[in-house]
Amino acid sequence: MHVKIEKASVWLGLGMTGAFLVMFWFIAGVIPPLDPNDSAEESARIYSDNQLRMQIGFALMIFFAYLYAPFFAVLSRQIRRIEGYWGSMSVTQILLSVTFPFGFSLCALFAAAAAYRPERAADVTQALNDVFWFIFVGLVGPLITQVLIVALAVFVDKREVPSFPRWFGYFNIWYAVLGAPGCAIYVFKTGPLAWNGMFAFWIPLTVFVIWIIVTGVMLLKAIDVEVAERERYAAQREWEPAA
Amino acid sequence: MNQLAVRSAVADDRSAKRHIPGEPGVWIFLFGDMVVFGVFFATFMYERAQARELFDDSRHTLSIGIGLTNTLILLTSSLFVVTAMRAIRRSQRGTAQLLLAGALGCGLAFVGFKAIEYTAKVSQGHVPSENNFYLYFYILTGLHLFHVVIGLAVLTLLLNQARKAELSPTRTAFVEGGACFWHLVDLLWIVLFPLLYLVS
Repeated sequence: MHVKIEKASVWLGLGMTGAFLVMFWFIAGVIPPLDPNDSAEESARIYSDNQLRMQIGFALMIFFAYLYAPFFAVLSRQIRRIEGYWGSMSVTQILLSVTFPFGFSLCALFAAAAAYRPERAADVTQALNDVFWFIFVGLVGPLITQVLIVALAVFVDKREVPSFPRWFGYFNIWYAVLGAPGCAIYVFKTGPLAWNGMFAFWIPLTVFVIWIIVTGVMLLKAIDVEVAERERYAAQREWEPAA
Repeated sequence: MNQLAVRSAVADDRSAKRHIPGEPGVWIFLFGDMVVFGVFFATFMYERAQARELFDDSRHTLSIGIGLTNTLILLTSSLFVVTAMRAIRRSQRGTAQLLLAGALGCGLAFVGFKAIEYTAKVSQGHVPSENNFYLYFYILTGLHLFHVVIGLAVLTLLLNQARKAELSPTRTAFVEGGACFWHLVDLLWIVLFPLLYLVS
């Protein structure tokens, strides 16, 4: 088992979260979010005034978002270990993990398109801007489902040395409940459930950062559990030590 | 036995009696949820301070009767859950099932009254877009209602567990954690009710 590669995959996910904040917050400047109540002209002006920095920030995200994939590979593999076979929990985990980097990359694509032609009609830019936020803030279903699967897997892990502590299951439910309100942004233009609101943006963003850090640490520990298990089985010659 | 040993024996006895319900992990979820609802309440208070008159006038258009009924319903359901837990510990399966069914009934009644309240408010023209008070009213009660619905699922799980003749320590802890969640749903409403309906 290539322990260093496994652990590096986890660190990559954590590093990408830092990079995401830098790209969106400091380079593109879309955190804090734009106001959904802005007129088409106001939104378009923000895109034309900040064209270059936005283009750079989004171009970086479109390219680098896929570095999130190894993190979710480790997560899916650990779920597979709990199941003991390729069951629906681990396969669903893989399927939805595909959407995660695409979510980041795709939203940035729409915003990059919005910033690409400052001379065009303002409502077109506004529509592209809307789609950017609809994906970036509103598309929470896949990750929430993944997180609930992690919680379920933690609870059904009946092995002698489980990969995750049981509180991690409850922690994932906590994240699922608080991350979910993001899905309401399609209905609101003002208030806490609009895409720049407290309940739909700031709290989900905060708990997402907490979730990825805690999950990263838990995955690093789960890798240690796996290493110990493989060594024990290797000694009993019941397990073919891979690499 | 010297004094020290006696003291530590007493301490052991006490710590054995001081039982924290549920597995420790469930409290991460419960406290985490409380913290975030705390932020929700603070946001509401902040918005309220921005437009005191508007919030106070709108508050008077709410039906305190329904709010109070729902408060009593949830308090009753919590009592049902407490007594059901006691029955489970004493292995009185039949009683526990009956009490949990009672709690479940209360939860459903809460949802029913909430639906009546929402329908009445909307038909009177009080929709979320009317003003900031109603926006927060629908969002905060909606998020709480979401918790009630999760709570109903949890109570159904507990009812299922109460059927079993014997519960393992893990399952007992799980059942206790579920009961604590229902108390959290109750607690949040106890804060939400005065905040929305009563504070002037």
